[in-house]
Amino acid sequence: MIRSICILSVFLFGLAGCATTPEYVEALDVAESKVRSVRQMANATQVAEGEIEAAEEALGRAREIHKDNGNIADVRYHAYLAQRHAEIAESRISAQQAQQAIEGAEQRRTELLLRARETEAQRNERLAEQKAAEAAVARERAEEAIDVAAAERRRAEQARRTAEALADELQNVKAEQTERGVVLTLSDVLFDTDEAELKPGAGSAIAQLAELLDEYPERRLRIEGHTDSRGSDAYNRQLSRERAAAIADALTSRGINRNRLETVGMGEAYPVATNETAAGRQQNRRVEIVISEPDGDFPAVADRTAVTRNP
Amino acid sequence: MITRLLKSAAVCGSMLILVACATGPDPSVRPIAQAESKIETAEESGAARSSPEAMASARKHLAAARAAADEGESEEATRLATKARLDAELAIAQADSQEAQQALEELEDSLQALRNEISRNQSR
Repeated sequence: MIRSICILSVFLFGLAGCATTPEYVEALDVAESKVRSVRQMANATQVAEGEIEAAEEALGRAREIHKDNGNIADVRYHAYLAQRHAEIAESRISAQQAQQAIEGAEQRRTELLLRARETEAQRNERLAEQKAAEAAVARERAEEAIDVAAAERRRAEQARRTAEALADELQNVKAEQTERGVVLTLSDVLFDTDEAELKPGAGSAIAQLAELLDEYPERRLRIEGHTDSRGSDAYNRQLSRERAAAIADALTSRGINRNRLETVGMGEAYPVATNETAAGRQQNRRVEIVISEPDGDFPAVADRTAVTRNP
Repeated sequence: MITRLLKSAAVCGSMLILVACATGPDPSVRPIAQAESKIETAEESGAARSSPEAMASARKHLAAARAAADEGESEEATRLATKARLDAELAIAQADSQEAQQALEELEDSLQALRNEISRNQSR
């Protein structure tokens, strides 16, 4: 034992004597830094412990031979082994890290799937509620529409009956159910040309109108005077206004409250027939009487300024 | 002291026996067989594609080891075979690592797709 140590010492001494500085071996430094960095990486894991130990052992061996000025090929050989063991360790560590990341990702995936299912369920619930609400609204609307249609049908029926009743009562007058309500047209036979005074023959028509008003005390009349196109606008408006007023006066004198009567002179603005012929002009010279709704108002379109009416 | 001497004698005896046996089978046969087997495993795990450099190095070292063994340089052959084996082990480790890396990327992609789908569903 002692002898072998002596021999070794002599051998080492001899080596130190021939070459004081060992030749630089780059591979050794490269391997050393690799082994060191992998050792640091590996601190968190045991997966490559065996490889790292092998790398460190080979590196130690290479270092030792190098320090002792041993064979450079031997140094390179052990440095190569150290390098490879370190690289294998590195790959195993990164594989393990990827594996751990995979496990984490799989867990997140499970959580996300769960959340997706919940979200989907909530969305379906919300959609169902929305659909139910929409259906309820639609049903309500449909019912309303049915009610409205029924009410309209009743009102139309009522209006038709009213028109028929009025027409029955007014033999000498033309009664029409129009968009303006029930409109009675008194022809010009009631007035002489250019005259605003009622002819005596108008008495029966006036009497019938007065009776009608007595019979329907809640209704009012809008009396519109119209002329043909002969004469100036201003004159025709004046004449038509006076004719409407004449009828209102006649009704008032029969005991009808003046508040129930509106008069207006439309002049020649609303012809119902051509003004080119005598027959047409005769149709245009007229008084129209619009009968109000039971509440005393006239349908909105009764405002003739809002409606243009062409022959 | 006596036991030490006996031990030394025993060591000397065994060394004599080893020297006597040195004419037996080449000691590089086993390392070469191990390297061959590792290279085969590496090829099976697709390492030629994922780490071509390590694989080329393994084949080069194995060829050199066989050549050295043929020349009767059994120590050199053993070293070259050991290098070839470690080259192949590195190729295997790199192939495994790359496979795990790829699986992770695919999983991350599917996670992202899932997140996108969820945020689309929530905004609807």
